[in-house]
Amino acid sequence: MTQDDAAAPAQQAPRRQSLFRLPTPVKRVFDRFPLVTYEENELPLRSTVRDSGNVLHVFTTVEEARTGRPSYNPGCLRWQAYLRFAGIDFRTVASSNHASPSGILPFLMPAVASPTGQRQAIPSNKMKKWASTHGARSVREPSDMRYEAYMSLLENSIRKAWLYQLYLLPANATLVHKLYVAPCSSNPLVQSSISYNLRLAAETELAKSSYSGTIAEEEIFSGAEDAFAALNSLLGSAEWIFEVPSMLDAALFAYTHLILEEGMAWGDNKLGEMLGKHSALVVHRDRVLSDYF
Amino acid sequence: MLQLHILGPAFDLPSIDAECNAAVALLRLHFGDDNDSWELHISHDHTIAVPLLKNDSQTLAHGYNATARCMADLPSPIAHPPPSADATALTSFIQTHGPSLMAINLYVSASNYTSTTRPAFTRILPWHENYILPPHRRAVARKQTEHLGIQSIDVDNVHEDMSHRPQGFEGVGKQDGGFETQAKGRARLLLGGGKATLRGLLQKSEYAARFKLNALAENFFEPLSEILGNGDHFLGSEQAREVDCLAYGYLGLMLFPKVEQDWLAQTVRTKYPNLLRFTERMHKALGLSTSVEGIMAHQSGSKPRTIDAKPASLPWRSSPQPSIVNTVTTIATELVHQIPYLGRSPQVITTTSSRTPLWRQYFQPLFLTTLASLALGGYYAIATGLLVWPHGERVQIFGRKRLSDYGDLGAAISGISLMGVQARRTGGGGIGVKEHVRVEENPRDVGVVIE
Repeated sequence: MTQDDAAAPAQQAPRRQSLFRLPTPVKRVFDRFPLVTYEENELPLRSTVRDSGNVLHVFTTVEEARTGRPSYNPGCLRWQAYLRFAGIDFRTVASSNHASPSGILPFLMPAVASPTGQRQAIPSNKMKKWASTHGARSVREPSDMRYEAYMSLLENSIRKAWLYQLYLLPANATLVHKLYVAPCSSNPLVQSSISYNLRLAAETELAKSSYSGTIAEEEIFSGAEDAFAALNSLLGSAEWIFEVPSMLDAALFAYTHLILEEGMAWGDNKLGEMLGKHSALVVHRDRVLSDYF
Repeated sequence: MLQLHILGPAFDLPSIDAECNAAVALLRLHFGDDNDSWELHISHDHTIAVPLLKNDSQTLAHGYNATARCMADLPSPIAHPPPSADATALTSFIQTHGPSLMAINLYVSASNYTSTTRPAFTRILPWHENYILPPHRRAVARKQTEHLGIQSIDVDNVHEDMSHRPQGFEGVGKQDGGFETQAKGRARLLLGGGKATLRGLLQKSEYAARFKLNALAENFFEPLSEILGNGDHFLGSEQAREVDCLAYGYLGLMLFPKVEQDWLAQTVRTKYPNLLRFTERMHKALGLSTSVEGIMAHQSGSKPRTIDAKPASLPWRSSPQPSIVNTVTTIATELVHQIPYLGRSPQVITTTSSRTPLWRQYFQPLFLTTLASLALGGYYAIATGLLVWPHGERVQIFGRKRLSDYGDLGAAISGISLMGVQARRTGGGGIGVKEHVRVEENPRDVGVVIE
């Protein structure tokens, strides 16, 4: 009450007589309550907001994510390599499609200045723009007109052969199970449903390109062979395909690394036999692996 | 004798399919003017991959890429060096982006499809295929382009000039709402909302689709035009090569058809005239001009009706008319494929024997067969009485309370009680007379059967 009396002459407007005003004795109690205010608890150790840093969510295993090893999915691995080319510091974390805002991996959670700041996830289609603004080195697309043509080699022929080899060859079914099915669930019914859906999606994707809906295995692998030969001859003995590291190198590394990697334990690796004949591509993959990973 | 099976001719081109055109150009390039070493056949089957290269009865190649590889292996009078890395990349580029553009132009856009593509198909297909093949191709075309997000082109609003439209007029194909749209407009004015900003106008679906289409076309034509430059052929070569044939195949089908919404042809004509010149040059040099009427008349064996049907310069051969059995089987198979679960799954052609177990290979038919047999067996069992649906007494008698009405147990008890009555009646017969207890038959068969 004494405080109010002291404040009243300083006030210009009269105090409103409100129904919700506390009666004075109660107010006196509450002026001295709470007696002690504790400071905030720290966030738990596992909370991601603790670590300020860029986090890239990819398909990987927990051990590999801790050491920053390449992901086993070519779509994620190409972005991982691209961000490394751009000199961006990040760590990877094992994740799944459901965590992504756009529904596909990879996506990036960028670092924020304060731990309470809002983090906006960056899906893969916006990652290039983000990397160009935040990267230490700029990874620009070469102005050569053939860049688009060679990029289409990877997107078209090699991707189709990869899909066919991984999902449609029965010898590689255990590999698909280990990589994509087992981490999702341990219930055998759910697992068989997931693997069926994966195979069906791969078949639909491959059959989409022809009007008759047929998938010819020989055709797909011959196309991949021609694509590898073309990339090999373009690369020659140079360090990068178009002099500076670009998305094309990252995408090429993504496929060649996963085809040649021993840890993948392929059942039937036709693409690996093809790739072994093209030494320039193998050298390119070894160099990128040793320099950036 | 090499036979090339393609879809029929259209739009002054040898075929209505882009890769078939490219294959015809390739063979013409390979054989020159020699029309006796190869034959051109028209095929109607939508389940095989056209163009199809056959050697009498053995299939050599499915699809354009395999055909090109096959032709490269054949001995030829003109020596062709193997395709360079740049040529391979360019081929792949054309085959990645070309089909979507062509699909949008001819199949996805509703007005183009109904006004141009469908009549062109009618002229070359037998009557039953006309209901099967074009819708199938259209469905595939839509699946190929749905990731581009331009469904709004299905409604024909792309070419509308919106600046002079009267109030309440939304566009061709959209009915004027009349009173309601005008009332809505006035209400919006009253409520103070809805300033027509530029961004809002540009984000409307028709403009967004138009911008996307322009971007797509530019992505495809710009690199092509640059690589062609001012030369006669791609990648600066003196003679036409395989990549030129493929480019001719796709460009021809984008430029030659006279469609209602020809934003694609106009883009090429205004911005990339060298591509137009290239296409026309290839068309004339290889002599691929085809009169549809003449060819179809030749197929059916009658004389062409119009006088100006040019003599065909390509070695067309007439294929036999499909028999009635063939027609019926095609129609039946297609009807079966329309059933949702049974409907076709992508065929995988492998040269190596598939190592999947038999039950997994034929999973769908086996599953459906087991279901159907279980259902039939169940019906049969219930119908003949093998399996009985649990039900109560056949005859329900209400109001009568005799012991024998209460089922088997009641009958047994009533029999015993009756026996007791009989024993009392016979009275002092000899002790030791044994009576056989006979349980009264349950009067189940008497009376109305109520089930």
